[in-house]
Formats: sequence, structure tokens, C-alpha cells
Amino acid sequence: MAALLAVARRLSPTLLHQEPTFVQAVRGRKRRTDPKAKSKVDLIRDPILIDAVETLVLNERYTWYKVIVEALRREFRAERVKQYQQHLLSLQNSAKEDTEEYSRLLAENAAENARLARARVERLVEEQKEKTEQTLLNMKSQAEKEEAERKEREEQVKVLKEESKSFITFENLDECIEEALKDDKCYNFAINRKGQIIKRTRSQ
Amino acid sequence: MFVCFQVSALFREAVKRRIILRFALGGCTNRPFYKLVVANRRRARDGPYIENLGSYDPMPNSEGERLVAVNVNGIKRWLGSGAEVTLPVAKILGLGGILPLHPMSITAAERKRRKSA
Repeated sequence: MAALLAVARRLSPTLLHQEPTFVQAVRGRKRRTDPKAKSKVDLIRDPILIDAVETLVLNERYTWYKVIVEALRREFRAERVKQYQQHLLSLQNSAKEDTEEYSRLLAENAAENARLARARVERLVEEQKEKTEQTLLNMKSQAEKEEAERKEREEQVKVLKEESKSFITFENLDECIEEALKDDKCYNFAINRKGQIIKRTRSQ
Repeated sequence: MFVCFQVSALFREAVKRRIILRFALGGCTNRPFYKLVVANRRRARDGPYIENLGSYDPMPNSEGERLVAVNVNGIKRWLGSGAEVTLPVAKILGLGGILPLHPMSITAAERKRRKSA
């Protein structure tokens, strides 16, 4: 059939195709409705001769090829499913491990806190003891200080009392004046900072 | 075939998105170089892609080899997710052993042999 058509085309090229030979050169990409180009008007294309045996063999090869490729795709898919499921399982396991780890850490933390609390309590007791001892010592030293002060004051009072015997009062004023007048001591001299008399300034 | 709906929905992802394994052209004038690339079908050939799974150098090297690099795990992953494969990629993967030999590779070889004989 194809051969017959080819012969017919060769005999009368313009008979078989009813298009106008050419109206105008087409610029750009040709569309389906554009007329044939001048150079291609008389062109007759021969169909590609197909080897029937080769085609049969090729078609069979194609069917097998498609089957194998589809099978391979399914195999790869199954592999991915398996990987995904393993991934989910590992997630679950890791979740369990995480909760166990968490509870273990909580217990550890509680133990540590208890230990620190015990240490803290001991420390506080010690501190309290020291504090009370210190306050007692302070009180003791304070009392001693006060005692010493009191004694010192008493001493001072005693000394003053002794000295007061030689004080000049209204009663013995006249007597003391008489005594002072009788005394011939001369105090008319200068002294330096050390308390030494500067002999030149002593008057006779 | 599949274990649950959730899982199969995940794996039909590539089909819905029309994902393709193809060659993206690089290099420069008179020096082509192809990247084996996973991309959305509607993207430009050399445009943004999802993943690079290898390369193909069509220029023979000093040993006369045209080298192909392939990330086999990646290809398995995408084929398992439903990605399509273009003809040149299918042929090269067939030669490499990941997919079966393409029928046209065999036929072309036979034709060449017949011609030379």
C-alpha cells in the first residue's frame, strides 16, 4: 500500500495534494495551515522501510523491558516502605529510651538535692553553734570590760577622796592663805617644752 | 500491596508532582556536560532542580571513555517514589546496570553490527 502511494506521488505530484503551490514565503516557524515552501513543493518523501522481523523482536523486548522496570520500581518502593517502618520503630524505641532517661535523671537530681540539703542543715547547725559561742564570749568580754571600768572609776574616786583632804575650801581658806604667804617659793621662771627650767629666766 | 494509606500517599508524591530524572545541559560552547538531575517536568531543562544524582560527560577523555557518575541510592529512592525517566537517562542507566538494557540500545547495536559486517 505504501509503495503504491509512493509511485502515485512520483507520477503526479500536484494531483494528490490540493494545496496552493505557493502564495507567499512564510517567515518564522511554519504552522499547520501555512503553505509548502517553494523548494519543497516537488519533494517526495519516501517512507522509512520497516524491518518486520526487527519490529517484532523490538516489541517483545519492549514488553519485557516495561515489565522488568515496573518490577524494579515496586522493589524499590518496598525497600522504602521497610526503611520508613524501621524509622518509625526506631522513633518509638527512642521515645521509650528518652522517658527512661528522663526518670533516671529526675531520681539522680532528687538524690543530689537531698545530699545537698543534709550538708546545708549540718552547716547551719554549726554556724548557729558558733554564733551562740561568739555571743557568749562577747557578753563575757563586755562584762569584764565594764568591771574594769567600774574598778577604774572606783580607783579614781578613791584617789580623789584622798586628794580632797588637801583641797582648799571656804572653811580653811584663811589658813591656806596664811600658809601660802609664809611660803617663800619663787615660781617666776620660764620652762621649755620638756618642762626644764630655763635658768636665766629665774628671778631671785 | 502497601501497608497503610499514609505510606502510599507519601510514595505517590513524585507521580503527582510529575517528577522526572533527566539530563540538564551545562558546560560551554563545543563542550557539553550533563548533570543527572531530579526535577519537576515543567521546569526549564537547566533550571532549578530538586536533587543532583550524578553526571554524564559525553566528550571522551584521554582513555577514550565517556564517564558517567551515578548516585545509586538516590536513583532507587526516586524510582521507588514514582519518578519518570527520560530516554537518554534510561539508556545510560541500562548500560550501567541499574535498569535493564534498553531495547533500542540492543537494536542499535545489532544494526551497527549488520552494517559493519
